[in-house]
Amino acid sequence: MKRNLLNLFFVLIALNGITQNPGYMGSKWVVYGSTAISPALNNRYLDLDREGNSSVSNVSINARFDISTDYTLSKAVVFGGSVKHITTNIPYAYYTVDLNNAISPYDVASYFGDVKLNANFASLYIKFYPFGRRGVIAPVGNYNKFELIIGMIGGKTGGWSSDFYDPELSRYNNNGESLILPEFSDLNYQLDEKVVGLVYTFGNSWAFTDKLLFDFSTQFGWLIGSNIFSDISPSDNSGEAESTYEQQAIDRVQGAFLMNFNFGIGYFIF
Amino acid sequence: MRSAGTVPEDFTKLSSEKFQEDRENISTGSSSERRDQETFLLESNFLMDDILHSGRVIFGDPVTNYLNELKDIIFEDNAETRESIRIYTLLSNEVNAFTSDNGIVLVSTGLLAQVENEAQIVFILCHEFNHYIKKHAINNYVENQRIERGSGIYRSLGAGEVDLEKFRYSKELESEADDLGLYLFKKTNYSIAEAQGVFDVLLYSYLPFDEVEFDTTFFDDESYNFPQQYFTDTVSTITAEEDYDDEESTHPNIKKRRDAMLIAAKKIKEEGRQTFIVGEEKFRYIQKLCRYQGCEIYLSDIEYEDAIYQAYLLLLEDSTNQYLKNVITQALYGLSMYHNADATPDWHRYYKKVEGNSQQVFYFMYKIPEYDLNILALKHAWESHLANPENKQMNDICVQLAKELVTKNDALLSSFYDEQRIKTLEVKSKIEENDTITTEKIEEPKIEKVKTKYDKIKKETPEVEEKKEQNSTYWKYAFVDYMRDPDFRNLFDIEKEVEIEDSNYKSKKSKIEYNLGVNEIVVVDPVYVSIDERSKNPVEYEAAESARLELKDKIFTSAEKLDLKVEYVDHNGIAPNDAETFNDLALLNRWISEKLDHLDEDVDMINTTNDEFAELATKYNIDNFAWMGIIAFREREKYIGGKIVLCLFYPAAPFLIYDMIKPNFNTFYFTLVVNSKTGLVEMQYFNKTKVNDNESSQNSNIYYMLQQIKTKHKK
Repeated sequence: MKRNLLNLFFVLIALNGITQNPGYMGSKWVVYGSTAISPALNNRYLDLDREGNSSVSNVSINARFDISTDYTLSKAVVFGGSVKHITTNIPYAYYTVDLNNAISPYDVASYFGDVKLNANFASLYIKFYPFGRRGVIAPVGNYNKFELIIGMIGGKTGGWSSDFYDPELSRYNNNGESLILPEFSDLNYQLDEKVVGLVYTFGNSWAFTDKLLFDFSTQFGWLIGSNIFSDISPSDNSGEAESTYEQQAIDRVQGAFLMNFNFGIGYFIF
Repeated sequence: MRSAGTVPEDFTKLSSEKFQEDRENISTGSSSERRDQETFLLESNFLMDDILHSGRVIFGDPVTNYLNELKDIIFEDNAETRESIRIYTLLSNEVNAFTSDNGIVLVSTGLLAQVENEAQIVFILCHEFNHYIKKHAINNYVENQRIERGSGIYRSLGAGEVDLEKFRYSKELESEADDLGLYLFKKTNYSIAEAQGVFDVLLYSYLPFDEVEFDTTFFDDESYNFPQQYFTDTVSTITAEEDYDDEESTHPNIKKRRDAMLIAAKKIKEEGRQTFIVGEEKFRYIQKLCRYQGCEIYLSDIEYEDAIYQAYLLLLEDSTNQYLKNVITQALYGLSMYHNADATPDWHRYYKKVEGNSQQVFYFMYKIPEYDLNILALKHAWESHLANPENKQMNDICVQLAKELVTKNDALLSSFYDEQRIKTLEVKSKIEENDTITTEKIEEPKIEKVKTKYDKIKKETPEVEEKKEQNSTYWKYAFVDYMRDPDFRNLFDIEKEVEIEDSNYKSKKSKIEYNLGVNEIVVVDPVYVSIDERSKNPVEYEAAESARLELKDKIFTSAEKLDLKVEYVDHNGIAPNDAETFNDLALLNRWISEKLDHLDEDVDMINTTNDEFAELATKYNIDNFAWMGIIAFREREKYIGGKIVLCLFYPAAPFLIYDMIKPNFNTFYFTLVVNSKTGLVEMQYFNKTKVNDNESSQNSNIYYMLQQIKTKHKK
């Protein structure tokens, strides 16, 4: 993979050597800060709110923050990379872990509440400006961007979690057989697999003065392993709970990539 | 002819400023009429400025000064009107004069070349001045708008009657200008009787300034005689009718105008009136200037047959004039290049459409094969070159014609070589040199000085000549006089030339990349056009002018980043005492206009004014000149129905709705770079973008265009 990427990079550099590369009035290297917002399209895993009412509204928003850098290779091609930080959450989640009779009379310990997800991604991308077809000259104008992302997802206790001493919640704790854990981290789940995905973006960028670059784009992304369009019910089987969480976490982050609107401000370094 | 003296404000003031000033003087009227007046003033100011900046209008030259003398005579006792009218000379062979609403009167050199006397030109000026005094231009526009809207008395007009009503109103104004013109004319001391001939000038204005039979041996010499099959036995008769149907004409027909004048003229005493007041000598001098200028105009307008006939007419009076011979050479060169490229400009007249004696030239050029014409052009070019070997342009023409002859017409130098014939001529030449009695007679063409063009037209009867025998190799001895000349023979050694030419040649394909490696450039009067087709008045004059002014800064900013030295010449930057720069711009605009015509037809040839253009390189100390521009075009989104259906796929709806609301953008960026020393187009860049003409797109494209000029080719 690395070799292929390097080969691609060298081909692009070589292309740059035989054609004019105006950049934007000579500036070719841009650093962007951008934010992406998207509707939280993920399924709810428990269909009840904390008061036990059903049909709770699903609407929420995923936020993402990127720092990226572009280098203009030719009139039509820009190469770049970015780091992305995504915060989202799994609301009203219910996860369990086997206690194996270790420290308590309970077989299973469970966490019920919001799980705050933090995902960090790095990416490499290539942007194509249709100089031949639409006459735009990189890095301003309309573009199509193809991005390969790789990252990790981590979870922690979210904004709300159940109270161990709250009798109202006893109906969720498996008839009193489950130990309610106050923190998600107490479950000791580990999602150590790298998540890989592809993102396609179409957008438009325009310069303001000769130093700033504004960018507005729409993105569509897919994380490999995502199962976002399938219903995943919370598992009562504690043995499967960790993989359920893993799937749900990926799906939740997938929600932040599936479709979003991105606004960025760039600065021409040189 | 060149402009001289102080540059009038008409040429340097921004069109938008002129418009704003004129707008303040809009007379009262209904809101729609005021709006129409505003539209007229906006369009007329910008369009008039386009003409003033075209390089075809000059001031302070002898012709303009002469016209101003006539104006002073007409308004001897009316200083206010005299000062408010500004006359300039229009370099055009059209027989025409026209007046703008704000007092600019343009008189074409073609008109001055054709009128018979001063009284006639004064009558025409009186007519034009009244168009200004009575505000005919703006009134005509406003009335036309009322007719189109069907306002007031025009309410019941049928669809076919709208145009006729417009013509009727225009004719009414023209008749008024004639009547009032005659009233103004009467106040002068010019002869009414002499002025009446002006209607013959107008009637036969589509003909050259004289009607003289074209000598079919004009291109012949002792060894080189054209077969008569290339000439027509009779030329078309002149068919102009003065009592034509003028229903769909903006002017009353000539008969009506003439009759009206005759009736009015009866009331005016002719006694003591003069044909010339400024003076006949000056009139003849001015007319001669205009006729000579006409040759150049025909050449730059790619009307080569007309140029030949005009130069032929002038040669009848001055048979040794090298300037006129050069005109004929350049016309033959142009015709040969166009024939070889199998190209014909849209405005070229087919010989059957030509009337009178000039038809013979059109017929000849139609009949002569490419090969033969190429030989004829080269022969004339070489003779012109020998007459003035320092003339680089003529030398370049010889080189190119020889190359064309060899590469396109597959000619060999040996085809023209006949040792026996050369020796015979050499012996003959020596005998003539030793002969103490000069036997050589320069055959002067017949000059008919008594009859005017109009007398000849009215009495003309075509003569029939006997056809000579056909000789298909008559051209064999075309170059026999020069075959011993090594310089001439070297013309045919073209292998090396082809290579040089090819390395300079650039494809016309858009978006090809250039690397000129140029460090300095003159940017000539950039163009900015903005058109919004969705609007009732689609041309956005004021916005475009403002954007054009901003272009200057953008060009300098990008040039500075590229370390490219830029000299910028535009009309708005000309100082009042800088007529020289105005003349430079006029030359540059005429030069590029001619070049674009050649490029349009895919004919790679040397422009008429290449030598003058090359002199600018010395003046500016920069070889390369760039014409840059932006044309922004917006139109309604197409295929809306299909997109509405696609909106049924609701995730795509927001994008489709946005796409339907926004206009379609097409912005064109272009740059043409020419090396003034060689006259070669070094760069012909064109980028059609489908985005709007926002700042960053402009900057991006301007930088890229200049980068291609600056960057050296990577090898």
